[in-house]
Amino acid sequence: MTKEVVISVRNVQYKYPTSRDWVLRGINIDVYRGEFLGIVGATGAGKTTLCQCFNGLIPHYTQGTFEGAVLVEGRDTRETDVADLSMLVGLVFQDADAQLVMSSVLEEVMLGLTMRGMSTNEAKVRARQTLESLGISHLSNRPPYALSGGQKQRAAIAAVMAMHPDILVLDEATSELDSLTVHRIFDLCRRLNEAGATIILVSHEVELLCQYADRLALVDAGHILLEGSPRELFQQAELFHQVGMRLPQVTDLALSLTNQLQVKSLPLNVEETKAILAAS
Amino acid sequence: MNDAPVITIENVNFAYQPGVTVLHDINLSIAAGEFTAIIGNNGSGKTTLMKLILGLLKPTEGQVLVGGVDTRRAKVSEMARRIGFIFQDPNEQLFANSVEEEVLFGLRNLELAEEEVQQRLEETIALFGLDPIREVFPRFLARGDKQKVCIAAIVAMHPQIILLDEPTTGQDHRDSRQIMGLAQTLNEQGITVLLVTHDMPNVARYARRVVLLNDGRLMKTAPTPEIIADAELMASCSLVPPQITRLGLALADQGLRPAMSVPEMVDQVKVWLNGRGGTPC
Repeated sequence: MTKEVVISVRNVQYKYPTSRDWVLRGINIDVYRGEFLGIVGATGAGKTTLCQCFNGLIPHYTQGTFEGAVLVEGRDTRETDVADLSMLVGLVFQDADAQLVMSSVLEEVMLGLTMRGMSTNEAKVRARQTLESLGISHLSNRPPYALSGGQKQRAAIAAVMAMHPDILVLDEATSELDSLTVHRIFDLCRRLNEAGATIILVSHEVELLCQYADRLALVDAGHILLEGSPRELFQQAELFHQVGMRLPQVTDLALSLTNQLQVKSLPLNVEETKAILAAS
Repeated sequence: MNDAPVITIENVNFAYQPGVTVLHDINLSIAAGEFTAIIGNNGSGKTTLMKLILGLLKPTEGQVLVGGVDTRRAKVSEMARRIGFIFQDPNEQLFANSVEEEVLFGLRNLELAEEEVQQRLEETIALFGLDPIREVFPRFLARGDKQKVCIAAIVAMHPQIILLDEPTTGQDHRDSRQIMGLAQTLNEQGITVLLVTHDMPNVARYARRVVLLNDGRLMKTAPTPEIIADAELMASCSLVPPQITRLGLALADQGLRPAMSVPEMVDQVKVWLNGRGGTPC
């Protein structure tokens, strides 16, 4: 089966009007239909900038210098309206405040749907289902400003997820959430992924990300430094440490015990590590 | 370490609006020199408790004493001399034109003699290794360095307590390790450290005691391993122990203990492998 490219980033370089240096320095990556791609990298590596290229926010809404090209479903983002692109690519920001504008959470989630021409009744049903699946039905009538940081993040995620975008991008959108809520959002991403959506998830939750993502891309200083399956990537532990990242705790443990254990394949979770220890 | 409490919270209830109580009957005492983490799920009341300790909110019922002073009677500026607050986002804290001025600002507010101000400035610059960047505009610094400057500015004021709000949220490993290492160093020098966070691997590794909140109630306070390794209790509060701790729990039938950090587990596994006659180290 040939893999169909849904986003193609071709030699993209980008510099904000205020930045002295290039923030993206020649990014090349293809994102395939139906994959679950994890993006990792240190603070300032360019992850957020890259995400904003996926739906055309860059270069449309930023000045700055953009070179190269991003194709979404074959359409060049420079020549496509952000409104059209956001039908294809749903982006949840790291900073939920940047996203919430309405007077209640329910209206917030309905906004994108009614803007797409859905009837108010239909939009209400869809919005309620989405809030339910994220466990925040009780927040429906609250104004976004009265929410805690974690609640805002979930409201922002709901607003984007309700649109059922073909491609869903979450840019560190779970950083303020407790562990069970983070699991719940990752699970929801997996369900959307199984239903055919392409998921791009930027996260520092490396233990969790490698359980969900088919492929990881490590971004460093505006480049894609490495990409491949989590297990392949973690072979390059040194490189991860050099760029300020860590591996899952159990993978780190296995790498610290290579003289004592027989590690044929690096473990990514508790069960795999337990099996290696039992066999040693 | 002396055991005199620096923070005492007695029978505290707190409601933002009448009838909507968000903290229920909290009793907690923090001794000088502790390194304590306050954890709990979203909406558990962590932030409210933190604001009560800082004196930004006053209890609806009960009392909060910081350094023996009732927060209802202390001005926020007086509180700031006892307890240094480190914002989650360093950009909310930095405003001066140079790192040096950032450190000087708080010191000048203490109305100390100029000689004392200069001495503390130099001590702080040296302690935090800020000499190479002392003239730099703080907003141009990398995130990790910004946080370091924020902490330096607070530590220069010689607070008894520092309170860190989610210092590692959204941080990469390098910055996260730097800030936690700094908190540990300050704690070793006698400063009481309070950490409010979701970051369980760092709680497990650095905090000696944990205060667990759930739905506005204090569920349990105990030495860190007793809470972090209690997967059932954690799950009842929507929390998950760190992966390395879960590995130890999964291997309990093999005689392994739940570890609080990777190095601790590495040591334990080495001993365990030797004991069962595996490949010698």
